[in-house]
Amino acid sequence: VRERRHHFKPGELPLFQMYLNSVNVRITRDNVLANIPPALRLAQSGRVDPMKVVSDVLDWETLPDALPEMHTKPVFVRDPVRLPRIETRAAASA
Amino acid sequence: VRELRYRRAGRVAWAERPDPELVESTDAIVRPFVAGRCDGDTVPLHRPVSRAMQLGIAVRAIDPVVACICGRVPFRGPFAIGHECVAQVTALGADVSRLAVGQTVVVPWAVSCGHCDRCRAGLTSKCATTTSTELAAFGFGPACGPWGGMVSDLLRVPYAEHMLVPVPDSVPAARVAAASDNLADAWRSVVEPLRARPGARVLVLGGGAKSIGLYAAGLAVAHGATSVDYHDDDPSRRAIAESFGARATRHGTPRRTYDVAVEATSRAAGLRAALRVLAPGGVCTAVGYYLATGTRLPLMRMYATDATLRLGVSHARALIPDLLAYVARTGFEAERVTTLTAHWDDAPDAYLAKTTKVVLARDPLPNP
Repeated sequence: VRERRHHFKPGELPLFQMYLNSVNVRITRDNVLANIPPALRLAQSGRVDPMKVVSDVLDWETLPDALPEMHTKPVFVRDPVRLPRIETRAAASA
Repeated sequence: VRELRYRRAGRVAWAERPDPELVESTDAIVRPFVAGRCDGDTVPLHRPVSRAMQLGIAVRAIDPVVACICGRVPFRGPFAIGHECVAQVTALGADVSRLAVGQTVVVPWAVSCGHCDRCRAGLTSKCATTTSTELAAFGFGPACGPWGGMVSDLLRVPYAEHMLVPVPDSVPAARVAAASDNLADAWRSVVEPLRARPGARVLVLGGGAKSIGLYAAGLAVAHGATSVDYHDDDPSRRAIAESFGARATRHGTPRRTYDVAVEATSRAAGLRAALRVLAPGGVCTAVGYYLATGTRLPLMRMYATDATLRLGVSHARALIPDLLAYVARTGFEAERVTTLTAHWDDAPDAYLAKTTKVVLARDPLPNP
């Protein structure tokens, strides 16, 4: 049976090649919560510019039309709402 | 000197060859006096696999890289067999200073130099100095180099100061007969994963890599696993697993999940089963041979659970010092796995025995 969603088919791996090369395969959803703080610190440091991956910065209002298009990494933005300033511990120590 | 040679399925025999000599100043000559039969050796011993494997490679059903290890016609005899032994040092090259004649040592199955980048990274079985194609090893035939087999009266070992690992005085040689390969393989399959997951629940699917699965079950219990389930259809092996403190049952669909799995059925179906029962963040070490060019695995299932699959030859030399120190400290009874201990001279019959673990032994030389 040919499936259209190939990502979800059982895959075949060349186990003996992997055996000879001492390969570990980890397949997983990213456990994002643990990784967000260091990722933000890295972006803040300026050593990596994540914007290089962003192919298109698009207006939030265009989402229904633009999302199905084949952009590499579209980012949709709108102005943040002005909220009363919230004192967090991080902000307080900064 | 005599060495045991594989001739064809169902036949191994002694053959004479010239005495090995010190070639490099870093060599040693050793006299093996305890030898284990690796689980992998039973593949060509018990079935005529040569032609079938050659055909499999020709039609690409079997990964062609297999030929780099056991030859274009896989396991074509004669070749010197055996790659697990405990030996006594009988001669040392001029530049070997940290060993002494008479010392008892383990000889790792793969030949490594100890100073290249890969050796320093712990990938000793993929040593960049000694490995011309895929592996440099004892007992697999000429495709893995000129090193000969370990069921031999005398054996030349290169890079001796690095290669030979002294056996502590308190450790009986027969206990670590498989330290060269199968016991070290079991060690990496459970001890490292348990260090990262203290108190893990462990599953061992046994019966293919027969001794590795049992060593793994025993080591997992001894390293603080909360539970160790051992699956095997053979009642004698289940009894050995239970004697280590594992819970042993016949093969069947596991009803719970496991943090650490060891796939030792040496079958793709076993590997799929082990991967499906991993708990989130679990790790499965596959210690069998999976020779197909492509093996179907439940990758989406692995994605959903965050699974790690570890494949690879065991880097025995990097593990043996820790393993021997552990056995010396705890008295871990690895010899429970040995189901046949035979006299060295009876190797031609004993090496063929259809049993879990064969160990050959002869008296060591009196120490000088």
